[in-house]
This record gives sequence, C-alpha cells and structure tokens, in this order.
Amino acid sequence: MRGREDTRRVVARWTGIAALAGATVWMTLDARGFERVLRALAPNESAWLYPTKPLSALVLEQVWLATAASVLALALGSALGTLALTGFGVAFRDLVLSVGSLAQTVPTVALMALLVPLTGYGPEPVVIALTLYGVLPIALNVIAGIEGVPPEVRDAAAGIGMGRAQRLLRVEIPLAMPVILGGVKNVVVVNVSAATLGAVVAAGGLGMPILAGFHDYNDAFILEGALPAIALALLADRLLTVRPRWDRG
Amino acid sequence: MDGADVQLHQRARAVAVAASVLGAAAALVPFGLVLRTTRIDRGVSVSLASALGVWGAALVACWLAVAAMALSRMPLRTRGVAASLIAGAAPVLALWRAGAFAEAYAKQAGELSRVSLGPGFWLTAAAAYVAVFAATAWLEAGPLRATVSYAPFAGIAAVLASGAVSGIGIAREYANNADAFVRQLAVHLGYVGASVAVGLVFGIALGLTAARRPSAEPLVFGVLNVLQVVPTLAFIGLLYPVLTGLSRSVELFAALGVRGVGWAPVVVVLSAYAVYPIARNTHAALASIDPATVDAATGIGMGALRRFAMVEAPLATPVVLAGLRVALVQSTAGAIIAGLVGGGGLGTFVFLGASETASDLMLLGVVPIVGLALLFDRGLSAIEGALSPWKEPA
Repeated sequence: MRGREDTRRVVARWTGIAALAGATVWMTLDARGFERVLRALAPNESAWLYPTKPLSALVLEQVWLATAASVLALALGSALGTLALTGFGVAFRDLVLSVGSLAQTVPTVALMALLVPLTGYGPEPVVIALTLYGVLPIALNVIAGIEGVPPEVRDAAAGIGMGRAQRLLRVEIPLAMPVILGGVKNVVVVNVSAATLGAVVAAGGLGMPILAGFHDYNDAFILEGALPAIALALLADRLLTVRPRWDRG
Repeated sequence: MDGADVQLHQRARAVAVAASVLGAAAALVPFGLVLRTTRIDRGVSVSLASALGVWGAALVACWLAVAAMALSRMPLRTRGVAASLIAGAAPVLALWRAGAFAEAYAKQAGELSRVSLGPGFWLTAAAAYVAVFAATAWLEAGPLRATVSYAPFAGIAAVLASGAVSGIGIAREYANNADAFVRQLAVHLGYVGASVAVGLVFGIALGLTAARRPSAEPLVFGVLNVLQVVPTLAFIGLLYPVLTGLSRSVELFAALGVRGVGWAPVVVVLSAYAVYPIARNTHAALASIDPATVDAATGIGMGALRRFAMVEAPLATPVVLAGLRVALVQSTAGAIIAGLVGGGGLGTFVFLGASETASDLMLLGVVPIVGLALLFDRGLSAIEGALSPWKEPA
C-alpha cells in the first residue's frame, strides 16, 4: 500500500519536473514556435519577441547569474557554518544566527543598486548581492543540521574511535544533509527568482524583456520574459525538493 | 554561575575583540566618506580617521577601549555596560562629526558639493552592532540590558534631530524631497498593511482548513508554495495583461485606478507572498497542540467553539504571530518593487537613484525600509514573547 503511494508520488514529481524542463527548453530553443504562442496571447502587438537579444541568450544569462551566486554562497556559507561549530569559531555562532535574520530586511534589488557605484553596471553587482544574501541562510542550515545530530550518535562515533574531523565528515555532515540541502534549495530558488531583478542594473537575464515590455506597454515582451522565468524558478524548486532517504517509507 | 555561562562570557570576549578590530579598520579604510563636487559625481573617498581630525583619533580610541575592556578582568556588569555604551557611541560620534565635516566641505567646495557616508561608516555601524551584541551577553536580561542595547539608536535619533548632519548627502536628499518622502512612506506602509491584512485573512483561513482537514493540506500548501516561488517581476508581468483587461472591461476597476502597472499588481503579488508564512504557522501551531490538552478541554465540558477560543487559539497565537512577523518583514522589503512599476513607495527613491547613480537618493529609500523591517521584527518578537509566558525569554 505504502509502496504504491510512494511510487505514485515519485512519478508525479518526475512528471512535473519533465514538463517544466520541457517547457523551458522548448521556449528557449524554438523561437518561432514560442513567438506563435505569444502572438496568440497578445494579438494586438506589432512585435512579439524582444529585439535586443534572443531568448536563449537571456535564459543562459539568468542561469549563469543564479549559478555563480549559488556556488559562491554555498562555498562561503558552508565554510562559515562549519567554522561557527568548531574551536575558536564557536564564539561567533550566536552572532551568525542574529545577523542571519537581520540580513533578510535588506531588499535584494536594493543591495544590487547600492553596489553599482562600487562595481559599475553589469553582472557583478547581481552576483555579489545574491552571494551575500545566500551565505547566511546556508550557514544557518549547516549549523542547525549539525547541531540536530543526536548526541547518542555522536557518542557512538567517538566510541568506535573516530576523531573530531572524521566524525564531522563521516557522521555529522551526512546526517545533517537533509537540513543543509533544504537551505541550499531555498538559496538556489531565491537566486533563480531574483536574477530576474538583475535587469535593473543591466546584468541581462529574463528581467530585460519584462522591463522593456513595461516600458513599451508590450504584453508579448513581458510574457516572453515572465513565462520562462517562472518555469525556471519552479523547475529549480521541484528539482531540489528532496526528502531524506530514511523518510521514504 | 555555572560552566556554560562562563563559556558564554569567554566567547563574547572573542566576538567583542573581533568587532573592535573591524571598527578600527572601518575608521582607517580609505573610503569612510565620499566627497563629491555634485550629487552624481563619482567623488573622492577619504577615511573617517583622516576626515574627522582629532575626533577620528577618538573614534579609533573608542574601539581600542572596547577591545581592552573585553580582555580585562573588570566585573561583568560594569564591563558589559561600559563596552556596549562606548561601542554604541562610535557610529553616533562618526555621524555627528561627519555632519560638521560636510558643512565645512560645502563652504570650501560650493553649494552643489556633497559629502556621502561611505562603506567605512556603514562598517562602523556594523561593528557597533556586533560589539553591542557581544558586550550585552555579559549582562543579565532585563531593563539595563535593553537600555544599553537601544541607547545607540537613541543617540543616532538625537544627532539626526539636532540638525547637526543636515549637510550630509542623504539628509540633503531628504530635505530636497521631504514632501515626496512623507507621501511615499505612507504609500509604502499602505502596501505593507494591505498585503499583510489579506495575508492574515487567507493565511489563517487556509491554515485552519489544512489543520482540520488533512486531505486538503497538500493542495493548500502546494499552491501556496508555487506562488512563493514565482519571481516578483515575472508575477507582476503575468498580471499585467489580466489587470489591463479587467480595467478595460469593468468600469469599477478603471475608476479605482486598477491598471497593468501601478498599485494593483503590487498589492496582489505582495498579498500572495504574505499568505504562505501565516498559513504555514497557523497549520503548524494547531497541529502541534497536544491532543491531551484538547481532550482535557472537552472533558471539562467545553464545546468546540469555546475550546477553540479559550484553548487552541491562545496556544496558537504566538506561532501565528511569528508567521505574521515573517510576512511583515517580507512585505516591507518586497514593496520596494512598486517603485519599479509605477506604484510609488520608498522604492521610487531607490530606482530613481539607481538610474542616476545617486547613492544618497538610493539610501533615502533603503535606510527607512530596513529601519521599518527591523522595527516590525523586534516589535512582534517582543509581543510573541509576552504572549508565550510558558517559554523562557530568549
């Protein structure tokens, strides 16, 4: 009974992912076909595709901005989180928790705009802003995950003769993985979403046709950016929503 | 005092010293203040220490004093009060003297010139936050700790009110836009209020539904999760043709000013985002109530309605408020987008500033947004604490 329901859930999940991935790839690659859809949705316009750049380039820019920021945030965040649990860094644990909630009060797009005087327009302010924004959530989840490992497990690992580093790498991090991955998912999804705002600081991405559409009152340009942006964000969310292996019945 | 406390105090020592190092570095880095000949000039940067003369030396001395106290054997109470007051004084001092410096610079470089607060100043503020955070760990929770934690904010407010900083860039932008600022602040608060009100109504209703009928749970949270993931700008974009169509076909909407851009899509999008945290917490709060408690209430003869009003709702309220707090902070930050799509609000200054690369104008929008979000966060945390007397104060 349980197994059947589980199979159904797995099938539903992968069907959703395949549909979203298919839609994204199709919109990106089949420009003519997508234009026909936009033409049907916004019949009164005179142009349907954003003329400055092809959609494939915009999607690539969006993915690249989100990936760069996510990788940097993951590297810095896990280093910070691990440091905050070991030796000297323990002193900074409470501070990381406090600043982590504080940082959420700064709007992402404001951080991007404020960085422009320092970095100039382009992808740099977006990657830096999204990285800064993602570091603390990752660190928080690393801390929460490792602290959530039951003390008995830790004792058992020490009891069979594991050292501090070995315990961290072979017991604590693997057990903390679901919580850490939850944090990674949130950060990646936020980045894929927020990369749309990169258009404000001329970083490219799918926000470009949306802003151009608002500017020219062109529904088709807006939808050309909005539909793939939504599909990409949902795809990232679905792909990274995983349940831990021992919770799968 | 037990072992854990001693350890905590020693940890705070390391954090306070690190904050002092950061603070001293912030005073010495060569981008404390930015001097511009016009408001959009790129400008030249100078360090706080060099710009503020003897007061710059005092600023560095503050940080040395904080570090010395952290490492000293002073009694915890004295050490906590003195170190947090001195650390908290550093940004107040920097702001006050930067104001005097700005006035002197304007006399020399002309009326169009500007002095802006640079990264060095913001780092000083960050260092003060960290140092006060560490030093207050030496104090018992209570009125004394609250007073020294919030003293720096009072100091900043006093300096701002005294007019001593009216020469600094962000204050000049405020003076030039005072009427618009008040108006956009009201619009911004209107967005936050409207979206959170909608979020509360739908969030509590959907959270209750999901808790009472578990079969509805995957659908409710599935839909809310999808809404949460949709990028703001794309969401507004998706609404654009819909709202344009509505305003063309329904006169009432047109009369209310519903258009594809403007206030309407902003309220819809922010409301949609605000539902999730409230629904999530309402559901979690009700699901976590011990069935024995509910049984006990039934056992003493309470009906379903009284049980809800007298047992379940009071137990759930602090958790629902935590969701409300998340929604408030999220809406306050999120309402910035209105400035990009013709909806006004504090984002207007941010995006106008971004298009002119006028940092001071951007800050005129960003600083109050962050201030409001912090105010909501702290205020609701305090209320949550007061409503859950069974929990230890954090």
